[in-house]
Amino acid sequence: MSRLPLSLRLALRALPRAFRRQWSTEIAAIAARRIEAAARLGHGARRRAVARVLRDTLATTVRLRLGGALRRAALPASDRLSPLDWMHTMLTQDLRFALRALVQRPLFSAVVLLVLGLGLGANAVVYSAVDAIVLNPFSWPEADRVVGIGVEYPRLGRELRFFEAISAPEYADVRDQAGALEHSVAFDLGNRQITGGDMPQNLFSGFWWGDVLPVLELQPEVGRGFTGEDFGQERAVALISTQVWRSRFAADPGVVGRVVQVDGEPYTVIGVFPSSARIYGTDLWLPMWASPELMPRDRRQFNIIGRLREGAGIAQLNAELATVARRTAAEHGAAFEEYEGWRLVAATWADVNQAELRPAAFMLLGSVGFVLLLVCANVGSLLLARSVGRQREMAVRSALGAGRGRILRQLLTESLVLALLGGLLGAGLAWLGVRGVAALVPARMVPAEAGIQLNVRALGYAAALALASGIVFGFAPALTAARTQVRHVLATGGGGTTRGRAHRRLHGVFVVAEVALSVCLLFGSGLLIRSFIAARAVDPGYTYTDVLSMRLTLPWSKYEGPAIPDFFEHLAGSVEAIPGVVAATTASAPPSDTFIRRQFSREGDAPVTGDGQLPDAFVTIVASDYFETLEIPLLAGRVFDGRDVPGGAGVAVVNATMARRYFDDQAVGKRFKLGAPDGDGPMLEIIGVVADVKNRGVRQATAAEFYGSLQQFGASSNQHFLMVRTEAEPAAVTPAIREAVAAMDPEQPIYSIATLQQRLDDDLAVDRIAMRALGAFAVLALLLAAVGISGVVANAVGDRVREIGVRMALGADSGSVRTLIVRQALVPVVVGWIVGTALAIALGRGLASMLYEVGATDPAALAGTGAVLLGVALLASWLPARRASAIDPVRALRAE
Amino acid sequence: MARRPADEHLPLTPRVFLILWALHRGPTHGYALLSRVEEVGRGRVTVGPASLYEALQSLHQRRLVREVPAPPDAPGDDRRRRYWQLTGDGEELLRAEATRLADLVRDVAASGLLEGSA
Repeated sequence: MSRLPLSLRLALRALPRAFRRQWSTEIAAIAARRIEAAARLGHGARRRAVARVLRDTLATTVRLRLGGALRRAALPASDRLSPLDWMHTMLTQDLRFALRALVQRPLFSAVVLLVLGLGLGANAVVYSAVDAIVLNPFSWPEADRVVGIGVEYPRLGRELRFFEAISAPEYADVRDQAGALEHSVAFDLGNRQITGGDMPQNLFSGFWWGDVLPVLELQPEVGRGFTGEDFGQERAVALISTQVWRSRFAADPGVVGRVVQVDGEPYTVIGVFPSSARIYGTDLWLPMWASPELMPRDRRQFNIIGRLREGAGIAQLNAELATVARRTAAEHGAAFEEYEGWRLVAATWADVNQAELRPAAFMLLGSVGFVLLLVCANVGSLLLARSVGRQREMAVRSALGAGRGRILRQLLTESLVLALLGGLLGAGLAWLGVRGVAALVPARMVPAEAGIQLNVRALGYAAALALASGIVFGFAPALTAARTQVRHVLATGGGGTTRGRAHRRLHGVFVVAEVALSVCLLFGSGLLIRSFIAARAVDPGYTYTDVLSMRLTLPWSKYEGPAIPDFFEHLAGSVEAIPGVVAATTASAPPSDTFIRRQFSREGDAPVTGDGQLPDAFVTIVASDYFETLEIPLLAGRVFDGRDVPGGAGVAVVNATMARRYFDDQAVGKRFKLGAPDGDGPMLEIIGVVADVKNRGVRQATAAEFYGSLQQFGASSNQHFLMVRTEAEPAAVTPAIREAVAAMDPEQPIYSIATLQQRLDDDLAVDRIAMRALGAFAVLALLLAAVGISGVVANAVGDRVREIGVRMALGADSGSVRTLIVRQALVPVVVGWIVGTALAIALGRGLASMLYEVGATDPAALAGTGAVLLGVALLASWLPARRASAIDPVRALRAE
Repeated sequence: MARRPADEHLPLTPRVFLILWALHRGPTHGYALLSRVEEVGRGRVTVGPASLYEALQSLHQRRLVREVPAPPDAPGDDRRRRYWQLTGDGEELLRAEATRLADLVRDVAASGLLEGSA
């Protein structure tokens, strides 16, 4: 008996041990006799016989070793596995293979996992932020049933507003008539001081017409919420926030029943409300004493929060509100013209408060999704390159009877394992990164007390993305592998040389995708950067460097009438005496945060009829040295001085916009009245015109504004800002200012301390976050694209060693080889750039609402994007191209 | 009809059916069995030495075949080999499968599916 060929002897050894012991002698004997018989027919016949026996032995090995469901899976018929078998196969065998494949190539796996982890982690972090800011900003039970109610008065030229927009009797109408609301409460906001104890403290306070806790479906931490008896009968009771309970009362449960001084009046604490109930950051809740029906219909400064009844939708509520509005108009339209065409509109509390952040939030979520797509393209490219090295493995498995579906599934399993491991890594990175991001987002944008956290939703999102990415980046290599010609690979030995044209085309597609995605991110970030620079460069029209501002609210119980302007004048005087202070002044609002608007009518205007509207303007009450201190130029007339006394003729200074728009630039000496021409508002004479300041934030056009003097009108409000110009670092004088305030009234707190620079920066906070985040994504994208391009070029060079050798042997110098490689590498780059630019221009329109003085097709951003990208692509392909030019033609040709 | 023990093995895979059929001619050893399988199967099913013994092992475990001593008249070389024979259950199973296939073919023929294709 002749010896069996080596391949057969090895194959026999692969049979399971028990089976081999029992039968291998028999099998070997039969195999030998058959091969011997075939050999008599010729060499070819012998080879075919060996191959047949080999195939039979290997197939039997696989069947015997796998058994059960796996046996079926290993057969070609396995393409029709039931889902359960599929899962089983995947979880056992495929998974084992996949892990083994990963471990066998540690460096490759590490690179892929790191890139994936970064991509998925970044997505999880951004999702966490978007979740906390716009998707699920409020943690109340069934928070999507909590609604706010806004109002629109076309006759007053007032657009739909939800914040401080509605009057108390209007609330009463809604409360009594809208059946879709289970509960609804109106509230007002303001500041109150609590004193007693070590430090006076200013608390942002809510004044309620009901208990909001049932609306939020929350319970008080201790004590109780408001009840019916607390309203309408001057009950001095209060609820405090958990924060104040902890900081001021050391979380003492005995706080209930304690008496605190609120603006100097004794109030009994009846309960502590939970952190998540801190609507608009309020720390102190007081009941309204007056019944809402008894308040004036046109004092519109309240907010409504309500909860939809079980089963009622927001559409139903809006239909009911339309009826309420019609009924109110019919009943009160004669006395209140603004009810003509007015609208009451409900929206979820999240929509009411967070909707304006939504474009930026979703833009960033989409952008970081782009980064992940880029990661997928990169990983897909890497897997594709690796799959070439595995062609032989796949061919052998195919020869063993693994069907195309089987191999495809195996490769997809590997990709999914990679993706899920990458997802795990990403979750870890996100856990680390989310704190950093939370620190970048101003607290006012995140209503949830917990802030931005990596929660179950973010993890679920990341897991879903991981799965999707695994399929995306795993598909191309899997499909090419499944298409691989088994015989061809086995016949040629299956080295790295059989990279087909299809492979190269796929690599090209990956580069196109990477470049296109990078172009989008680069272009978007270019637009935001240009817009931010433009917004930053805007001159707000006043001096904002080295100016400290802070707010004081004088309690009505201690100060009224002239005492208020006197207090602030005196305070400004004593602050000016502090060393390092250049000047001090006061205003009812910081220059770019004006919020009070008043309607007015020019002297001689006819009463408004029909659809006519009164013009309106911002109003700010300022001390006489305000314009000088903030260096706002006087254009005509004079500013306030000692002549403008209370009880004297009312005077006003107007800004240039108001003078131009309403007084033909001849404003000085003209007079206007607050409110309607036939109303009883005070008449004011314009004594001067000052230059415009950006009074609605730097991105908005200046609105008409007039200024009243602190002496004449300061008593109309108990809240004013102190503004202090300093020689150097403004924050350094804060302690001295506190002392100056305490010297006048030890119980008087100051709050909202910020430099005017900080207030301006805050105005651009969303822009800044968006710009930085998108910029970071763009840099990441560029890096990934560069790695992808150079990887593909390096692969191509490796493939073409022989060709390059021939070229060089025929006289091509290294420079022309480099040029050739780079030129070919740039083809998909240019295609990707064109595709990406088209895509970027299309997507840029979505950014338009976030841009300031930059078009969504800004040529500078487009050109910059192209330049950066081509530069990076050149560099990325130049490095591997240099390797090509270093090829030694002799060795390259001999190697084949 | 009462369910017979053989039914649970039906239908047989083509490979097992051919092996049982080949054994039906009488006890034999592996090499000859393989040749018989190729002969009766006329190349329709590929069976190699390894898969032959895989099938024999499984048939043996199910007591459908048994090992028998080499017949005294066997050539010297073959006397050292393991001989295989159908058991009664094996016979029954083979017949059951053959009957099933015959029934199937008859039904197919009766349906007119084969007319005109010959």
